[in-house]
Amino acid sequence: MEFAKFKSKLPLILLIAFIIIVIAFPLVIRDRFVLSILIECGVYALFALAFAAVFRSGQLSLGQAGFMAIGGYVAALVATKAGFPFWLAMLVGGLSAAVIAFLIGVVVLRIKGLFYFSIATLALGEIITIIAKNWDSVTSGMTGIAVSAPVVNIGSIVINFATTKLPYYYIVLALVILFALVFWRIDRSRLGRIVRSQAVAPVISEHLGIYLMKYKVIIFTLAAFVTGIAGAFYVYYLSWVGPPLFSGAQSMGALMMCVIGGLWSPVAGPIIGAVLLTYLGTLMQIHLEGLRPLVFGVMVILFLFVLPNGLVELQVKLPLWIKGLFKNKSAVAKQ
Amino acid sequence: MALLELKNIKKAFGNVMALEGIDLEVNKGEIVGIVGPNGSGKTTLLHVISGYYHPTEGQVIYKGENISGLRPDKIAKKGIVRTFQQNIVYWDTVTLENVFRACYLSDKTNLWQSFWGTKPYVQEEMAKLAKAQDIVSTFGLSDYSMAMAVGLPHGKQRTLGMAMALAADPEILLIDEPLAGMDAGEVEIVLNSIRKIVDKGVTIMLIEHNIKSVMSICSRLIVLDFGHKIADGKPVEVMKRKDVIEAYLGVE
Repeated sequence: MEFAKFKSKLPLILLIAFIIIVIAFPLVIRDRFVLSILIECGVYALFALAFAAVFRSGQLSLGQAGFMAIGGYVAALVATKAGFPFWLAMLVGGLSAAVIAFLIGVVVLRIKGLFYFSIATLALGEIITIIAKNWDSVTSGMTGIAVSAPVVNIGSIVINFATTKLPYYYIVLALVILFALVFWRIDRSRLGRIVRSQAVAPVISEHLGIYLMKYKVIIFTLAAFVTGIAGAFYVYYLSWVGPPLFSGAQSMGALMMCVIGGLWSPVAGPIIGAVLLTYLGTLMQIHLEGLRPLVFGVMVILFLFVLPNGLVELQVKLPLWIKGLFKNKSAVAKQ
Repeated sequence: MALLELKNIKKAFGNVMALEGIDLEVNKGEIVGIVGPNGSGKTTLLHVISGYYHPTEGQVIYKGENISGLRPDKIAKKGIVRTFQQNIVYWDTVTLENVFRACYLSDKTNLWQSFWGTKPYVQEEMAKLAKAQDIVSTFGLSDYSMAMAVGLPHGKQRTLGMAMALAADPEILLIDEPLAGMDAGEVEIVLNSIRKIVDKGVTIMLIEHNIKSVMSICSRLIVLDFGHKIADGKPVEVMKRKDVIEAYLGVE
């Protein structure tokens, strides 16, 4: 009885332990390189979370990186031209991405069928990149915009982001935990149920009284907000924004992260996938430059064959595999 | 005044006229059967009433209000709910949750309350669950309530479709071929569940090919042929008419 109680609470205990480890990690291991990888992992975890939320509503957003670009550019512009403090610039970046997503969603999500939305978002992503490249007076073209690292005064303590990366780590960690909780809670609440219903069987949902577009737009807008914030944060972290940061390949990268992590889990899958692929990607940039697309492509294909529901499926499949392994061996021994 | 009134409904797909001016009235408490050969426009008629298609011409008047051209979800909200010819269920979950999700229209709390899991929301969800369980047992699906909906046998899936439609609290229920592909035992179960729906005061429009069952359950029969209404009246009288026999059963 006691053990059963413990077992039911085990996931929660593990989760809390994991969060404590993640919080303490950079204080114990003081390695700037590891820290920078972890921060990138956080950015892409936010990105993949948003991407997965849209996917779970039955839509494939191939231009999600466009919203990252909107968030990044808007944050950079309001920071450099209007002198916004960095948290406000991030918020404005996220909100402007959300507004654009809302306007596009209201038009495009009206059309039934998966492909129109995918094509429209794909085009959007490209359009934003082209605007960023060519609108010299605002975006400075390929040169991009340099953003100075923020200096924050909390009472008498002064945190200068230019001297240490630690604050970035904790900010992105807080953002990931916050939005992971939000998406987890949405998945458990009515919105998640409705969104899943309409993704699974749109026609019947509509005839049961659900206004499909409304909920798709809500999810799409929220996802764009999260993506925009991730973009704005990324720009602050790199102290620079330019067109190459947000190419269409990034959106594909988010799709790969979600496939490898697990498309059908709202939170764990995208985060695991994002961390794994970002880490592998950085390693490969050092040791196997140029092979990255090939390796990732092969990985995705392998996953679709072996673990079509991603790494999160391991918790179900691994025990079965191990069982099967022992069974085969004993069968061979009997012969 | 009739509960539902169709005035000169026409529906064209390009050059093909699927419905060529249908007029009909449905009164409260009736069970109206719609029969006719394949391609006579029965399902198109249902699509037009439920908002899946917009009529090319004519009006659908429900409780004195013109509802033609409204979105399906608006029409469902007004009290006209339908089932489908195919078995469509939420394949990602179990039977009970299928019916639970179909209770969407009884939601009163908003998404914000649901996000924070406030007390009114939780109470509402409990009430919905009780309602879903009630409907599941009414339709004899209790043994399957925790089974994945896609795994149900064909007959049970069709029953589930009706259970889900009933969960939306309709005043008029449009049922499209409830008995398609069922064996004798399943037919009896479905007919019984339709009688149970009627007992709840729901008006029913029913498309069905199984004439024997239609005759046994309907209070009125409408015959369609090539987009025209060729007969409308008491089932026994309608089935005696020569033109109906000609159109539907063929002549020697």
